[in-house]
Amino acid sequence: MEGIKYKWTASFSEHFRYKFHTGMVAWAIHRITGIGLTIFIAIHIWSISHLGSGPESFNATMALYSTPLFKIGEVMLFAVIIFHAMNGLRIIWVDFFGGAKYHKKLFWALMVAAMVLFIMGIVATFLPMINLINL
Amino acid sequence: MNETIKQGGSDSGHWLWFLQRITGVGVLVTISIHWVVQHFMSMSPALPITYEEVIYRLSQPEFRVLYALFLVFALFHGFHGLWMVGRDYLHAQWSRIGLATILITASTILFVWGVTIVFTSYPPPIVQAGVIPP
Amino acid sequence: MDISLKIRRFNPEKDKKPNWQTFKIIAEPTWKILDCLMHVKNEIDGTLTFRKSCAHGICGSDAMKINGKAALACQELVKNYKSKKFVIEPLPGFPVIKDLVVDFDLFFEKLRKVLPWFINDERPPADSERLQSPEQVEKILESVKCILCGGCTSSCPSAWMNADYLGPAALLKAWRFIGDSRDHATEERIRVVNDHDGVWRCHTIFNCVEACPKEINVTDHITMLRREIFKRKL
Repeated sequence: MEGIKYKWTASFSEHFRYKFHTGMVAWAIHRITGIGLTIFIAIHIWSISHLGSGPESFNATMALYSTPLFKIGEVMLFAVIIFHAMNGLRIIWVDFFGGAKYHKKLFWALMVAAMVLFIMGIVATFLPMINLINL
Repeated sequence: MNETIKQGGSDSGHWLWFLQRITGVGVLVTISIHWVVQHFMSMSPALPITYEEVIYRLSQPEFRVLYALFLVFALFHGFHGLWMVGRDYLHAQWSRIGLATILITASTILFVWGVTIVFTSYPPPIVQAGVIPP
Repeated sequence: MDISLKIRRFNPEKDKKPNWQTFKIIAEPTWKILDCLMHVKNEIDGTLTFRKSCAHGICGSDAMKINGKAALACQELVKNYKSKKFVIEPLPGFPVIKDLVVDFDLFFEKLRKVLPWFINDERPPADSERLQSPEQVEKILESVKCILCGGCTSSCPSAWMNADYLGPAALLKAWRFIGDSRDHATEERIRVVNDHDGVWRCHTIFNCVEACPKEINVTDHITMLRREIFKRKL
Protein backbone atom coordinates (compact mmCIF):
# COMPACT_ATOMS: atom_id res chain seq x y z
CA MET A 1 0.00 0.00 0.00
CA GLU A 2 1.61 3.25 -1.11
CA GLY A 3 2.49 5.82 1.46
CA ILE A 4 1.21 3.79 4.39
CA LYS A 5 3.92 2.90 6.88
CA TYR A 6 3.77 -0.65 8.29
CA LYS A 7 0.25 -0.87 6.78
CA TRP A 8 -0.99 1.55 9.45
CA THR A 9 -3.47 4.14 8.19
CA ALA A 10 -2.80 6.44 11.13
CA SER A 11 0.19 6.91 13.42
CA PHE A 12 0.18 5.16 16.79
CA SER A 13 -0.15 8.52 18.54
CA GLU A 14 -3.68 8.80 17.13
CA HIS A 15 -4.74 6.60 20.08
CA PHE A 16 -3.81 9.49 22.38
CA ARG A 17 -5.11 12.30 20.19
CA TYR A 18 -8.57 10.83 19.64
CA LYS A 19 -11.22 11.54 22.27
CA PHE A 20 -11.46 8.83 24.93
CA HIS A 21 -14.72 6.96 25.29
CA THR A 22 -15.63 4.25 27.80
CA GLY A 23 -15.29 1.46 25.25
CA MET A 24 -11.83 2.57 24.16
CA VAL A 25 -10.53 2.98 27.71
CA ALA A 26 -11.87 -0.45 28.66
CA TRP A 27 -10.19 -2.01 25.63
CA ALA A 28 -6.87 -0.28 26.25
CA ILE A 29 -6.71 -1.36 29.90
CA HIS A 30 -7.83 -4.86 28.97
CA ARG A 31 -5.02 -5.12 26.43
CA ILE A 32 -2.35 -3.75 28.77
CA THR A 33 -3.44 -5.96 31.67
CA GLY A 34 -3.58 -8.96 29.35
CA ILE A 35 0.01 -8.47 28.26
CA GLY A 36 1.07 -7.93 31.87
CA LEU A 37 -0.73 -11.04 33.10
CA THR A 38 0.84 -13.23 30.41
CA ILE A 39 4.28 -12.04 31.51
CA PHE A 40 3.25 -12.69 35.11
CA ILE A 41 2.16 -16.26 34.44
CA ALA A 42 5.55 -17.01 32.93
CA ILE A 43 7.26 -15.62 36.03
CA HIS A 44 4.84 -17.52 38.27
CA ILE A 45 5.59 -20.86 36.60
CA TRP A 46 9.29 -20.16 37.05
CA SER A 47 8.87 -19.31 40.73
CA ILE A 48 6.82 -22.44 41.45
CA SER A 49 9.52 -24.49 39.74
CA HIS A 50 11.58 -23.85 42.90
CA LEU A 51 9.65 -26.81 44.28
CA GLY A 52 12.15 -28.93 42.44
CA SER A 53 15.02 -27.40 44.42
CA GLY A 54 13.72 -28.63 47.76
CA PRO A 55 12.06 -27.13 50.85
CA GLU A 56 14.69 -24.53 51.81
CA SER A 57 14.77 -22.89 48.38
CA PHE A 58 10.97 -22.92 48.01
CA ASN A 59 10.21 -21.68 51.52
CA ALA A 60 12.78 -18.91 51.16
CA THR A 61 11.08 -17.78 47.93
CA MET A 62 7.68 -17.86 49.61
CA ALA A 63 9.03 -15.87 52.56
CA LEU A 64 10.29 -13.26 50.10
CA TYR A 65 6.82 -13.02 48.58
CA SER A 66 5.42 -12.24 52.03
CA THR A 67 7.49 -9.09 52.44
CA PRO A 68 5.59 -5.76 52.22
CA LEU A 69 6.84 -4.86 48.75
CA PHE A 70 5.61 -8.14 47.31
CA LYS A 71 2.38 -7.95 49.25
CA ILE A 72 1.67 -4.61 47.61
CA GLY A 73 2.48 -6.23 44.29
CA GLU A 74 0.04 -9.02 45.14
CA VAL A 75 -2.71 -6.49 45.78
CA MET A 76 -1.99 -4.79 42.45
CA LEU A 77 -1.96 -8.15 40.71
CA PHE A 78 -5.31 -8.94 42.27
CA ALA A 79 -6.77 -5.63 40.98
CA VAL A 80 -5.37 -6.29 37.51
CA ILE A 81 -6.81 -9.81 37.38
CA ILE A 82 -10.22 -8.66 38.58
CA PHE A 83 -10.38 -5.86 36.01
CA HIS A 84 -9.35 -8.17 33.20
CA ALA A 85 -11.82 -10.84 34.30
CA MET A 86 -14.78 -8.48 34.72
CA ASN A 87 -14.16 -6.66 31.44
CA GLY A 88 -13.64 -10.08 29.87
CA LEU A 89 -17.12 -11.05 31.01
CA ARG A 90 -18.39 -7.84 29.43
CA ILE A 91 -16.69 -8.79 26.15
CA ILE A 92 -18.32 -12.22 26.28
CA TRP A 93 -21.68 -10.61 26.98
CA VAL A 94 -21.25 -8.21 24.05
CA ASP A 95 -20.09 -10.96 21.69
CA PHE A 96 -22.58 -13.71 22.56
CA PHE A 97 -25.60 -12.08 24.17
CA GLY A 98 -26.11 -8.80 22.31
CA GLY A 99 -24.62 -6.64 25.05
CA ALA A 100 -23.45 -4.09 22.48
CA LYS A 101 -26.74 -2.28 22.95
CA TYR A 102 -25.95 -1.43 26.59
CA HIS A 103 -22.20 -1.92 26.85
CA LYS A 104 -21.54 1.16 29.00
CA LYS A 105 -24.06 0.07 31.64
CA LEU A 106 -22.45 -3.38 31.55
CA PHE A 107 -19.03 -1.84 32.07
CA TRP A 108 -20.00 0.16 35.14
CA ALA A 109 -22.05 -2.65 36.67
CA LEU A 110 -19.09 -5.00 36.30
CA MET A 111 -16.71 -2.40 37.74
CA VAL A 112 -18.93 -2.23 40.81
CA ALA A 113 -18.76 -6.01 41.02
CA ALA A 114 -14.99 -5.75 40.57
CA MET A 115 -14.72 -3.28 43.45
CA VAL A 116 -16.75 -5.58 45.70
CA LEU A 117 -14.64 -8.61 44.80
CA PHE A 118 -11.47 -6.59 45.28
CA ILE A 119 -12.44 -5.47 48.76
CA MET A 120 -13.51 -9.01 49.69
CA GLY A 121 -10.20 -10.31 48.45
CA ILE A 122 -8.11 -7.76 50.34
CA VAL A 123 -9.99 -8.52 53.53
CA ALA A 124 -9.57 -12.27 53.04
CA THR A 125 -5.85 -11.83 52.41
CA PHE A 126 -4.99 -9.47 55.23
CA LEU A 127 -7.48 -10.28 57.96
CA PRO A 128 -5.62 -13.43 59.09
CA MET A 129 -2.48 -11.32 59.41
CA ILE A 130 -4.06 -8.91 61.86
CA ASN A 131 -3.51 -11.49 64.59
CA LEU A 132 0.18 -11.51 63.73
CA ILE A 133 0.46 -7.79 64.45
CA ASN A 134 -0.75 -8.29 68.00
CA LEU A 135 1.82 -10.96 68.74
CA MET B 1 -3.47 -24.89 12.86
CA ASN B 2 -0.09 -23.14 12.94
CA GLU B 3 -0.10 -22.70 9.18
CA THR B 4 -3.62 -21.35 9.28
CA ILE B 5 -2.62 -18.77 11.86
CA LYS B 6 0.43 -17.67 9.89
CA GLN B 7 -1.38 -17.33 6.60
CA GLY B 8 -4.44 -15.79 8.18
CA GLY B 9 -6.68 -18.49 6.77
CA SER B 10 -10.28 -17.50 7.11
CA ASP B 11 -11.41 -20.87 8.42
CA SER B 12 -9.81 -20.55 11.83
CA GLY B 13 -11.10 -17.06 12.58
CA HIS B 14 -14.22 -18.10 14.38
CA TRP B 15 -12.63 -20.98 16.33
CA LEU B 16 -9.77 -18.90 17.70
CA TRP B 17 -12.30 -16.19 18.60
CA PHE B 18 -14.47 -18.75 20.40
CA LEU B 19 -11.56 -20.49 22.11
CA GLN B 20 -10.21 -17.21 23.44
CA ARG B 21 -13.51 -16.63 25.20
CA ILE B 22 -13.98 -20.21 26.42
CA THR B 23 -10.44 -20.34 27.81
CA GLY B 24 -11.09 -16.96 29.42
CA VAL B 25 -13.97 -18.48 31.34
CA GLY B 26 -11.79 -21.51 32.03
CA VAL B 27 -9.06 -19.33 33.51
CA LEU B 28 -11.63 -17.48 35.61
CA VAL B 29 -13.02 -20.71 37.06
CA THR B 30 -9.67 -22.41 37.72
CA ILE B 31 -8.03 -19.27 39.08
CA SER B 32 -10.97 -18.68 41.44
CA ILE B 33 -10.61 -22.20 42.81
CA HIS B 34 -6.86 -21.66 43.10
CA TRP B 35 -7.37 -18.42 45.03
CA VAL B 36 -9.93 -19.97 47.39
CA VAL B 37 -7.62 -22.93 48.01
CA GLN B 38 -4.61 -20.69 48.69
CA HIS B 39 -6.46 -18.41 51.06
CA PHE B 40 -8.95 -20.66 52.79
CA MET B 41 -7.50 -24.16 52.70
CA SER B 42 -4.17 -23.19 54.13
CA MET B 43 -2.86 -24.61 57.40
CA SER B 44 -1.68 -21.21 58.55
CA PRO B 45 -3.20 -18.43 56.43
CA ALA B 46 -1.25 -15.66 58.09
CA LEU B 47 2.12 -17.20 57.31
CA PRO B 48 3.76 -17.77 53.94
CA ILE B 49 2.78 -20.97 52.20
CA THR B 50 5.20 -23.84 52.79
CA TYR B 51 6.88 -26.41 50.61
CA GLU B 52 5.27 -29.23 52.52
CA GLU B 53 1.78 -27.89 52.00
CA VAL B 54 2.19 -27.29 48.28
CA ILE B 55 3.81 -30.67 47.74
CA TYR B 56 1.02 -32.38 49.65
CA ARG B 57 -1.62 -30.63 47.53
CA LEU B 58 0.12 -31.40 44.27
CA SER B 59 0.23 -35.08 45.13
CA GLN B 60 -3.55 -35.27 45.00
CA PRO B 61 -5.05 -36.12 41.60
CA GLU B 62 -7.83 -33.51 41.80
CA PHE B 63 -5.31 -30.71 42.20
CA ARG B 64 -3.09 -32.10 39.47
CA VAL B 65 -6.03 -32.01 37.10
CA LEU B 66 -6.97 -28.50 38.27
CA TYR B 67 -3.52 -27.07 37.69
CA ALA B 68 -3.02 -28.92 34.40
CA LEU B 69 -6.30 -27.43 33.18
CA PHE B 70 -5.31 -24.03 34.50
CA LEU B 71 -2.06 -24.21 32.55
CA VAL B 72 -3.84 -25.15 29.32
CA PHE B 73 -6.43 -22.39 29.67
CA ALA B 74 -4.08 -19.65 30.89
CA LEU B 75 -1.27 -20.32 28.43
CA PHE B 76 -3.61 -20.56 25.45
CA HIS B 77 -5.54 -17.46 26.49
CA GLY B 78 -2.46 -15.40 27.28
CA PHE B 79 -0.34 -16.31 24.30
CA HIS B 80 -3.16 -16.23 21.80
CA GLY B 81 -3.94 -12.81 23.30
CA LEU B 82 -0.38 -11.72 22.61
CA TRP B 83 -0.76 -13.06 19.08
CA MET B 84 -3.92 -11.01 18.54
CA VAL B 85 -2.12 -7.88 19.73
CA GLY B 86 0.85 -8.62 17.47
CA ARG B 87 -1.49 -9.23 14.54
CA ASP B 88 -2.99 -5.80 15.04
CA TYR B 89 0.31 -3.96 14.77
CA LEU B 90 2.60 -6.22 12.73
CA HIS B 91 1.79 -6.89 9.10
CA ALA B 92 4.97 -7.94 7.36
CA GLN B 93 4.94 -11.69 6.73
CA TRP B 94 8.36 -12.21 8.31
CA SER B 95 7.43 -10.35 11.50
CA ARG B 96 4.25 -12.39 11.90
CA ILE B 97 6.01 -15.69 11.34
CA GLY B 98 8.72 -14.58 13.77
CA LEU B 99 6.21 -13.61 16.42
CA ALA B 100 4.18 -16.82 15.98
CA THR B 101 7.34 -18.87 16.32
CA ILE B 102 8.38 -17.09 19.51
CA LEU B 103 4.91 -17.34 21.04
CA ILE B 104 4.38 -20.99 20.17
CA THR B 105 7.86 -21.89 21.43
CA ALA B 106 7.53 -19.94 24.66
CA SER B 107 4.06 -21.23 25.48
CA THR B 108 5.04 -24.82 24.73
CA ILE B 109 8.11 -24.57 26.96
CA LEU B 110 6.06 -23.02 29.74
CA PHE B 111 3.39 -25.67 29.38
CA VAL B 112 5.82 -28.57 29.51
CA TRP B 113 7.63 -26.97 32.41
CA GLY B 114 4.43 -26.33 34.34
CA VAL B 115 2.91 -29.73 33.69
CA THR B 116 6.17 -31.39 34.74
CA ILE B 117 6.10 -29.53 38.06
CA VAL B 118 2.46 -30.45 38.59
CA PHE B 119 2.81 -34.12 37.82
CA THR B 120 6.23 -34.90 39.24
CA SER B 121 5.98 -33.21 42.62
CA TYR B 122 6.06 -35.99 45.16
CA PRO B 123 6.02 -35.47 48.91
CA PRO B 124 8.75 -37.18 50.93
CA PRO B 125 7.74 -40.65 52.23
CA ILE B 126 6.61 -39.46 55.67
CA VAL B 127 3.94 -37.24 54.13
CA GLN B 128 2.74 -39.97 51.82
CA ALA B 129 1.95 -42.01 54.90
CA GLY B 130 -0.62 -39.38 55.81
CA VAL B 131 1.33 -37.52 58.45
CA ILE B 132 1.54 -33.86 57.49
CA PRO B 133 4.13 -31.71 59.28
CA PRO B 134 2.68 -28.59 60.92
CA MET C 1 -20.35 34.77 20.77
CA ASP C 2 -16.59 34.73 20.36
CA ILE C 3 -15.21 31.41 19.26
CA SER C 4 -11.89 30.25 17.91
CA LEU C 5 -11.33 27.59 15.26
CA LYS C 6 -7.93 25.92 15.29
CA ILE C 7 -7.87 24.23 11.90
CA ARG C 8 -5.37 21.70 10.56
CA ARG C 9 -4.26 23.11 7.22
CA PHE C 10 -2.33 21.41 4.45
CA ASN C 11 -1.75 22.69 0.94
CA PRO C 12 0.10 20.02 -1.06
CA GLU C 13 1.35 22.67 -3.48
CA LYS C 14 3.06 24.73 -0.79
CA ASP C 15 3.41 22.75 2.45
CA LYS C 16 5.75 19.91 3.26
CA LYS C 17 3.59 18.90 6.22
CA PRO C 18 0.31 19.98 7.80
CA ASN C 19 0.19 22.94 10.19
CA TRP C 20 -2.32 24.67 12.44
CA GLN C 21 -4.09 27.94 11.72
CA THR C 22 -6.43 29.60 14.21
CA PHE C 23 -9.36 31.81 13.19
CA LYS C 24 -11.23 33.92 15.73
CA ILE C 25 -14.77 34.70 14.67
CA ILE C 26 -18.10 35.78 16.10
CA ALA C 27 -20.66 33.02 15.74
CA GLU C 28 -24.32 32.56 16.65
CA PRO C 29 -24.90 29.84 19.27
CA THR C 30 -27.21 28.08 16.81
CA TRP C 31 -24.54 27.95 14.12
CA LYS C 32 -23.19 24.57 13.18
CA ILE C 33 -19.45 24.04 12.80
CA LEU C 34 -20.11 23.98 9.07
CA ASP C 35 -21.57 27.50 9.27
CA CYS C 36 -18.40 28.61 11.05
CA LEU C 37 -16.22 27.04 8.35
CA MET C 38 -18.31 28.68 5.62
CA HIS C 39 -17.94 32.01 7.42
CA VAL C 40 -14.15 31.63 7.50
CA LYS C 41 -14.06 30.65 3.83
CA ASN C 42 -16.37 33.45 2.73
CA GLU C 43 -15.11 36.30 4.91
CA ILE C 44 -11.52 35.54 5.93
CA ASP C 45 -9.67 32.90 3.94
CA GLY C 46 -11.13 31.64 0.68
CA THR C 47 -8.47 28.95 0.40
CA LEU C 48 -9.91 26.95 3.32
CA THR C 49 -10.95 23.67 1.71
CA PHE C 50 -13.53 21.18 2.93
CA ARG C 51 -16.31 19.01 1.52
CA LYS C 52 -19.95 19.90 2.04
CA SER C 53 -23.18 19.32 0.18
CA CYS C 54 -26.60 19.04 1.81
CA ALA C 55 -25.53 20.71 5.08
CA HIS C 56 -28.32 18.76 6.79
CA GLY C 57 -26.78 15.49 7.94
CA ILE C 58 -27.87 13.21 5.11
CA CYS C 59 -25.17 13.31 2.45
CA GLY C 60 -22.27 12.57 4.80
CA SER C 61 -19.84 14.87 2.92
CA ASP C 62 -18.64 17.00 5.82
CA ALA C 63 -17.44 14.31 8.22
CA MET C 64 -14.37 15.58 10.06
CA LYS C 65 -12.66 15.40 13.43
CA ILE C 66 -14.11 18.03 15.77
CA ASN C 67 -12.52 18.38 19.22
CA GLY C 68 -10.96 14.96 18.87
CA LYS C 69 -14.02 13.07 17.67
CA ALA C 70 -15.32 12.19 14.20
CA ALA C 71 -18.63 13.95 13.47
CA LEU C 72 -20.59 15.73 10.74
CA ALA C 73 -19.75 19.45 10.76
CA CYS C 74 -23.34 20.32 9.82
CA GLN C 75 -24.75 18.46 12.82
CA GLU C 76 -22.52 19.95 15.53
CA LEU C 77 -23.95 23.11 17.07
CA VAL C 78 -21.64 25.69 18.63
CA LYS C 79 -23.92 26.03 21.66
CA ASN C 80 -23.60 22.32 22.49
CA TYR C 81 -19.88 22.67 23.21
CA LYS C 82 -18.80 23.97 26.60
CA SER C 83 -15.45 25.15 25.33
CA LYS C 84 -15.73 27.67 22.53
CA LYS C 85 -12.22 26.81 21.37
CA PHE C 86 -12.72 24.35 18.54
CA VAL C 87 -10.06 22.06 17.11
CA ILE C 88 -10.94 20.95 13.60
CA GLU C 89 -9.00 18.30 11.73
CA PRO C 90 -9.52 15.97 8.81
CA LEU C 91 -10.80 12.44 9.56
CA PRO C 92 -7.98 10.31 11.02
CA GLY C 93 -6.71 7.29 9.14
CA PHE C 94 -7.40 8.71 5.69
CA PRO C 95 -4.74 10.33 3.45
CA VAL C 96 -5.15 14.11 3.40
CA ILE C 97 -5.65 15.66 -0.03
CA LYS C 98 -5.95 19.28 1.11
CA ASP C 99 -6.92 20.89 4.43
CA LEU C 100 -9.99 18.95 5.63
CA VAL C 101 -10.51 16.94 2.44
CA VAL C 102 -9.39 13.30 2.66
CA ASP C 103 -9.01 10.48 0.16
CA PHE C 104 -11.82 7.92 0.39
CA ASP C 105 -10.44 5.44 -2.17
CA LEU C 106 -9.44 2.73 0.33
CA PHE C 107 -12.75 3.16 2.16
CA PHE C 108 -14.75 2.52 -1.01
CA GLU C 109 -12.46 -0.29 -2.09
CA LYS C 110 -13.33 -2.13 1.10
CA LEU C 111 -17.00 -1.34 0.66
CA ARG C 112 -16.98 -2.89 -2.81
CA LYS C 113 -15.55 -6.12 -1.33
CA VAL C 114 -18.82 -6.83 0.50
CA LEU C 115 -20.91 -6.55 -2.72
CA PRO C 116 -22.90 -3.52 -1.53
CA TRP C 117 -25.81 -3.99 -3.93
CA PHE C 118 -28.98 -6.04 -4.04
CA ILE C 119 -28.51 -9.52 -5.52
CA ASN C 120 -31.52 -11.64 -6.44
CA ASP C 121 -31.74 -13.19 -9.89
CA GLU C 122 -35.29 -14.43 -9.51
CA ARG C 123 -38.15 -12.37 -10.82
CA PRO C 124 -40.27 -10.61 -8.22
CA PRO C 125 -43.84 -11.97 -7.87
CA ALA C 126 -46.02 -11.00 -10.84
CA ASP C 127 -48.60 -9.13 -8.81
CA SER C 128 -46.52 -7.41 -6.09
CA GLU C 129 -43.05 -6.41 -4.90
CA ARG C 130 -40.86 -8.70 -2.86
CA LEU C 131 -42.80 -8.39 0.39
CA GLN C 132 -41.27 -8.38 3.87
CA SER C 133 -42.84 -8.85 7.27
CA PRO C 134 -42.35 -6.10 9.89
CA GLU C 135 -39.84 -8.37 11.67
CA GLN C 136 -37.83 -8.83 8.48
CA VAL C 137 -37.73 -5.08 7.96
CA GLU C 138 -36.80 -4.49 11.61
CA LYS C 139 -33.76 -6.72 11.19
CA ILE C 140 -32.05 -4.37 8.71
CA LEU C 141 -33.80 -1.08 9.49
CA GLU C 142 -30.92 0.40 11.50
CA SER C 143 -28.22 -0.68 9.04
CA VAL C 144 -30.10 0.91 6.13
CA LYS C 145 -29.59 4.37 7.64
CA CYS C 146 -25.84 4.52 6.92
CA ILE C 147 -24.84 7.56 4.86
CA LEU C 148 -21.27 6.37 4.25
CA CYS C 149 -19.77 9.44 5.92
CA GLY C 150 -16.69 7.45 6.96
CA GLY C 151 -16.80 8.56 10.60
CA CYS C 152 -16.93 5.04 12.02
CA THR C 153 -14.08 3.53 10.04
CA SER C 154 -12.04 6.67 10.61
CA SER C 155 -12.48 6.46 14.39
CA CYS C 156 -11.62 2.77 14.67
CA PRO C 157 -8.24 1.94 16.30
CA SER C 158 -8.26 -1.45 14.55
CA ALA C 159 -8.61 0.36 11.21
CA TRP C 160 -5.79 2.74 12.17
CA MET C 161 -3.40 -0.12 12.76
CA ASN C 162 -4.44 -2.35 9.88
CA ALA C 163 -5.06 -1.05 6.36
CA ASP C 164 -6.49 -4.44 5.39
CA TYR C 165 -9.26 -4.41 8.01
CA LEU C 166 -12.62 -4.13 6.26
CA GLY C 167 -13.76 -1.66 8.89
CA PRO C 168 -17.09 -0.86 10.55
CA ALA C 169 -18.77 0.75 7.52
CA ALA C 170 -18.13 -2.15 5.14
CA LEU C 171 -19.16 -4.70 7.80
CA LEU C 172 -22.34 -2.76 8.51
CA LYS C 173 -23.13 -2.72 4.80
CA ALA C 174 -22.48 -6.46 4.67
CA TRP C 175 -25.05 -6.97 7.42
CA ARG C 176 -27.52 -4.72 5.58
CA PHE C 177 -27.61 -7.29 2.79
CA ILE C 178 -26.91 -10.50 4.69
CA GLY C 179 -29.79 -9.68 7.01
CA ASP C 180 -32.09 -8.75 4.11
CA SER C 181 -34.62 -11.54 3.53
CA ARG C 182 -34.96 -10.57 -0.16
CA ASP C 183 -31.25 -10.83 -0.98
CA HIS C 184 -29.70 -14.10 -2.19
CA ALA C 185 -25.94 -13.52 -1.98
CA THR C 186 -25.63 -14.25 1.75
CA GLU C 187 -23.04 -17.02 1.35
CA GLU C 188 -20.70 -14.93 -0.81
CA ARG C 189 -20.80 -12.01 1.58
CA ILE C 190 -20.27 -14.24 4.60
CA ARG C 191 -17.20 -15.65 2.90
CA VAL C 192 -15.87 -12.08 2.49
CA VAL C 193 -16.46 -10.97 6.07
CA ASN C 194 -15.48 -14.28 7.70
CA ASP C 195 -11.83 -13.34 7.65
CA HIS C 196 -9.11 -12.40 10.11
CA ASP C 197 -9.27 -8.93 8.59
CA GLY C 198 -13.05 -9.03 8.47
CA VAL C 199 -15.36 -9.45 11.46
CA TRP C 200 -12.65 -11.09 13.58
CA ARG C 201 -10.46 -8.00 13.65
CA CYS C 202 -13.09 -6.04 15.61
CA HIS C 203 -12.21 -5.76 19.29
CA THR C 204 -15.51 -4.17 20.33
CA ILE C 205 -13.84 -0.86 21.08
CA PHE C 206 -17.11 1.01 20.30
CA ASN C 207 -15.53 4.16 18.83
CA CYS C 208 -17.67 3.62 15.74
CA VAL C 209 -20.86 3.81 17.80
CA GLU C 210 -19.72 7.12 19.32
CA ALA C 211 -18.85 8.53 15.90
CA CYS C 212 -21.97 7.59 13.94
CA PRO C 213 -24.09 10.68 13.23
CA LYS C 214 -27.08 8.44 12.47
CA GLU C 215 -26.76 6.77 15.90
CA ILE C 216 -26.39 3.33 14.39
CA ASN C 217 -24.90 0.84 16.84
CA VAL C 218 -22.31 -0.47 14.40
CA THR C 219 -20.61 -2.76 16.94
CA ASP C 220 -23.96 -4.41 17.60
CA HIS C 221 -24.21 -5.27 13.91
CA ILE C 222 -20.65 -6.58 13.73
CA THR C 223 -21.33 -8.87 16.71
CA MET C 224 -24.57 -9.98 15.05
CA LEU C 225 -22.52 -10.90 11.99
CA ARG C 226 -20.12 -12.87 14.18
CA ARG C 227 -22.94 -14.80 15.85
CA GLU C 228 -24.46 -15.48 12.44
CA ILE C 229 -21.16 -16.86 11.11
CA PHE C 230 -20.53 -18.89 14.26
CA LYS C 231 -24.00 -20.46 14.09
CA ARG C 232 -23.43 -21.47 10.48
CA LYS C 233 -19.99 -22.92 11.14
CA LEU C 234 -21.08 -25.08 14.05
